[in-house]
Amino acid sequence: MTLALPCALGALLLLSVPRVFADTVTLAGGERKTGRILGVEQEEVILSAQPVPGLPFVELRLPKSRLAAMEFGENPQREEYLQSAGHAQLAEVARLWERFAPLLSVPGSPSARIGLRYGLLLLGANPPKAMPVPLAVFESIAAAAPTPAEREAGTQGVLRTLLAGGQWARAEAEAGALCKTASGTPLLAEARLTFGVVRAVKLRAFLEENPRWQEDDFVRAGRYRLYESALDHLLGAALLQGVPGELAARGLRAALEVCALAGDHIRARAVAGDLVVFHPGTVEAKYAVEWLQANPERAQPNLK
Amino acid sequence: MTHRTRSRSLPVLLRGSCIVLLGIMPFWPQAPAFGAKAKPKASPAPPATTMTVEELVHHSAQALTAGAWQVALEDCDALLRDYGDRPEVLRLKERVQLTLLRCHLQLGQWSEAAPLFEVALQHLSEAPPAARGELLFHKAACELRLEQASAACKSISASLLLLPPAAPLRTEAVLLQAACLLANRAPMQAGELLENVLPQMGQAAAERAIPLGMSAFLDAKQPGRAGALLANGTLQFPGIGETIALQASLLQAGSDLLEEGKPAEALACLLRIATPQRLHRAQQQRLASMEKALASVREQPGAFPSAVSALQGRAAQLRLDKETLGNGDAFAAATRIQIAAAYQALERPHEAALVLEDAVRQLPPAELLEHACLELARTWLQLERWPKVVEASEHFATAYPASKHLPLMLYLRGCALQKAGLFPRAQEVFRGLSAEFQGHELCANACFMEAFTLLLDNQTAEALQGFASFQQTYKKHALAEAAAFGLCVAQAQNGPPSAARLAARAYLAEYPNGENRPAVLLRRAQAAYALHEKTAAVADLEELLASAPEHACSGEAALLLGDCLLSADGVDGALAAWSRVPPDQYEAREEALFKSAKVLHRSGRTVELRELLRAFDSAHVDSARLPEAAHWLRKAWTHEGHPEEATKWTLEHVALHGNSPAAQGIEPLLAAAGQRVASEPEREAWRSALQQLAMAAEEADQQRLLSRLKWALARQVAIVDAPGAGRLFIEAASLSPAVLTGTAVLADAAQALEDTGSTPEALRLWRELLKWHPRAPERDRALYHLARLDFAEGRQKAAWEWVRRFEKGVAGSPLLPRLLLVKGGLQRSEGNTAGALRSLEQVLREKGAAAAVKCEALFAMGQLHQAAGAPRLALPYLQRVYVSYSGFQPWAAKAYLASAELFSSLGEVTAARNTYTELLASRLAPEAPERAVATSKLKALEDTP
Repeated sequence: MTLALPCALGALLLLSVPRVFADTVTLAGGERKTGRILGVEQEEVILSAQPVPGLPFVELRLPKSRLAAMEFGENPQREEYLQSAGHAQLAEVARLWERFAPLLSVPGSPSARIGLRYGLLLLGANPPKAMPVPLAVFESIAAAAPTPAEREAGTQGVLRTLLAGGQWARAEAEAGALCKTASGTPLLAEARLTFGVVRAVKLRAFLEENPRWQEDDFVRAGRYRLYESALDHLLGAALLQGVPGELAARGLRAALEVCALAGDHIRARAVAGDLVVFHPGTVEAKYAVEWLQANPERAQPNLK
Repeated sequence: MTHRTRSRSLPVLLRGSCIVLLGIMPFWPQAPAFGAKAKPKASPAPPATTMTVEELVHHSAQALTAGAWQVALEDCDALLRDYGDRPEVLRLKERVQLTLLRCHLQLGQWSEAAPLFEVALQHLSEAPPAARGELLFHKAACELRLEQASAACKSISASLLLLPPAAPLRTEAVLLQAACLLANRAPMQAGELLENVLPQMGQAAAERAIPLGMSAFLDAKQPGRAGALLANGTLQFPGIGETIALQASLLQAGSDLLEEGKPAEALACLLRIATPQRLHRAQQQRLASMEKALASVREQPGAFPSAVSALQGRAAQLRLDKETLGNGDAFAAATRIQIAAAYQALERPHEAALVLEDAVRQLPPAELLEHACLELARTWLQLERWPKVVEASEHFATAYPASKHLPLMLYLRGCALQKAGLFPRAQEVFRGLSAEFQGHELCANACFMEAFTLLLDNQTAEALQGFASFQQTYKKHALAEAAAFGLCVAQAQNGPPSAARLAARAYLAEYPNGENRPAVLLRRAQAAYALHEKTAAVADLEELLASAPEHACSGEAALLLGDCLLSADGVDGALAAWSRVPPDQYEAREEALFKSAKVLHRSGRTVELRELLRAFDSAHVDSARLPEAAHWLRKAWTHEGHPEEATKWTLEHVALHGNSPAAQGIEPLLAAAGQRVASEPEREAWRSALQQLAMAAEEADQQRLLSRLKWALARQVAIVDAPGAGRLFIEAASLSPAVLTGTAVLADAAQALEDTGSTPEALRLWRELLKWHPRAPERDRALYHLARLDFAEGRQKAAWEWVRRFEKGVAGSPLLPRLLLVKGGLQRSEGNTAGALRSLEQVLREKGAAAAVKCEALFAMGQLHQAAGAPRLALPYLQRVYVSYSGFQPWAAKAYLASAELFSSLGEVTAARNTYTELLASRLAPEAPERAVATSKLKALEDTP
């Protein structure tokens, strides 16, 4: 007699839950075709399918107008490809987006994920003059993606693009509105971060225009307002409960820069310390280490 | 923070679930001994006593295969009970007992199962070690259920010795061993065991091992190692963090670390805690997967019932955890409060406030958050963020209207409003507090603060009443002395001096050693001085200076003492008193020096005067009152018959200190010296001296000094050659960057640029002046010109900004009437006729307004009325221009023409004719274009009946 049972049974049982990897297209007449949807070209949905099991896959072109429904199965390879896609794959991802953009509003479609990756690649690669392209991509996702999470991610992309393109006024207006209305943590953090960065830009301009603000009764309060507002929003983004690490690190880095800009070195050191301790291994932590090395501890000028 | 202890109950409760989770141990009790391909159903059992031995064995086997544990149990019991003495049953006895063991385990009958393990172990004595190891594993689990922790520890240790290293059950056995150690009060061993094996674990096992390990380390008072275990686990399995049990452990670890005084380590744990929404989502996903798996297992033929039960158990635990978490608000609140406390402990109140603010805004009201909100307001107050204090207080009042802390929050709001300068609102809050919460301990504070706010708002009469009322109501309050002092200050401001003296006397009698005694003595002395009772004043001042020579008001006291003694003890007494001003009270010290200079001059003690000013020269190089010193020095030298020595001193001083950017008195000194030269030879000599100094400065590359000297020269040139002077001004300003250039130099250069039509350059220089010298005496000029130039070029918004800055910062400037003209223009261009008229009327009211400016204002007012369709109202303004200001011909001529046009438009031809005639008869220059216009219009009117 034995009481043994394979220990991994639980895991095996979990793995045995059926997973659907194929996409299905239902034609207007009710006919269903299974395969892999490759996107849309010239109003035709391209479906890669096997006419008979065992035969090679062929690409079927089905007029979009004749389709009643589309269902997307899992595609781990594509997801992995999107995750790892870098600037070298920009052209390929662009083509992928071109094919999938028409399916953006179809529930379950990978279009939003493709668009988000494409937009982020564009943001990283392009000079500001090309900003209209990622902006359009993110705006379309923010407007038409089927799930709230995807739409929020699209809005995050819009905010990032506005910052990258130096569209401060629009960034401030949109982020300001979102700070009051956004409910999801990542979007709220992104909105605060954007708003804080715009305030930091304004603070920089203010300090350039008023280098002796401490002596000027008329503008002194303005400096405090801008500095406090920038810091509130940047730290506020980083301190939101459950904020994604990447956003928190960006928020802290921007806060560090604002503190340094304002000559508030004690606080800057504290924020740099946070980056080093709580976000080790990130680009922002590396920046903080360099900043700390370049700015050894020193007496704080009285700025209050 | 007081709320810390409250936050512990929830995490402890949740942490307990770690143990329960482990206790389920999904893979036991295990499979039946007689595995069947199909899943037959157990037939209904006939009564046991009616069955034969064979029937009972067969029936129990069927029941086992079908998972009908109770039926199998009853069959085995009947077999032993009814046929236990038969030889065939005796041979089967051990196997039957094993079956009984299995049934008891499956049915959760731990105490019935426990004694059967010995039989089973004996039966399996010849079996492979792996099989015995598994049996011991289950024995340990059973003993753990029965709270026999020590025995469980022994069993699981024995099991681990028998289980091969690659045995699939080994990981579970390690987890069970940790649970046994934890139950056996060896949490440190448990934690270390898991810490060691974690790197070899898979994701599923790690999900259970990390909370268990953290729980163990927390029990062992090692929260730091608990946090580190999670950090290592997260590095190995990035998605592992979102189980409720783990998050609860994190909160516990963070709280413990905080209590241990390790806020940074606490934050490392606390900042990893996810939002309850996210936890719910993650838990929901796990549950969904589990239920899918369950459904899938149930459909599989021959599935092990124990596997179903294990999965059911885990799903039940997930549901239990979810229920325990509830909506997560309490968990979220506790987390954020602990994070805030950690930041407070790190002396980072800003971060603490931001965390609390989020909690207070996003979570529904709760007792924990009531305290958090109070803490939030206090923290913002500490950070001097007044609007934020008000916001927190208002939120509190809305969310917790019945809270016992409401008076405190209102009080904090009042203080914040007062600090923000919003005095009426602050008064309202303090008054409301006193009225609404009568008898509350804060009423006294509110009453005092209301009176103090009135004082700050210059409502001295009301403040007096407030302080008096406080004194009556709260005689013994800690603030009574402060109120008495407030009464003195208010009385001194409100007058009469006799009342001020009475108030001071009352204070000094009541609080002979009061904190504000020196200040009250000064006020009593001031009152006495005002009442011409100098002896009394001197006594108070002497007492003040003797008892508190370094007090902030001792300088003022010494100055007043000198004034008092001047008439009584003469010059020397006064000089001695003024010399008692503490050296660190710079402004009072200068004032004392010039008072002394004046007295010495009057008494003809010029040598002493020169000595005094020499001391000033060396000690007050950067003083703006340098020209005043030069003035008294000149008086001294002139009195001694050597006025040229004063000029010499001036030039020497300029040469010595003129290159220092901080020496702000140089330009006024040069200007004053230049104004004093009256005759042409004197002017020539002065110019020559400046030029010589300039050459020396140029050779020594003293650009700042050179700039000042060129500017002084330009002022001399301006008398005869305005364009030449303009060029010199511009040159002077270009010699050094604006930050190092004197403000007078910059202002005159900007004016010169404007005069020559270089508006953009002029604008740039005016801005540079304000940018680098925001407190420059010439800032009124800069603001006015900037407003005017921006308005002229259509930049309304920018022009308004300058107007506002002027009105806020330099409203007493003689340029105010001119600025009001610009303001009126701005208002008129925006269609704000009423506003424009108010501004222009203010010009007329300004005593210092130049006639030309008034002329322009009157003409503009006439035009405004005319444009508003009220010609009858316009006429008097226009008439006033040419009647009262006929000397200002261009304006008078314009007003004549406009007035005549108005008469014509009103059909009053005679009046129009008369006006044109008057214009032609005026002193207007013959070539003025208005003459031609008037002649032609008059001719046209002659034909009109």
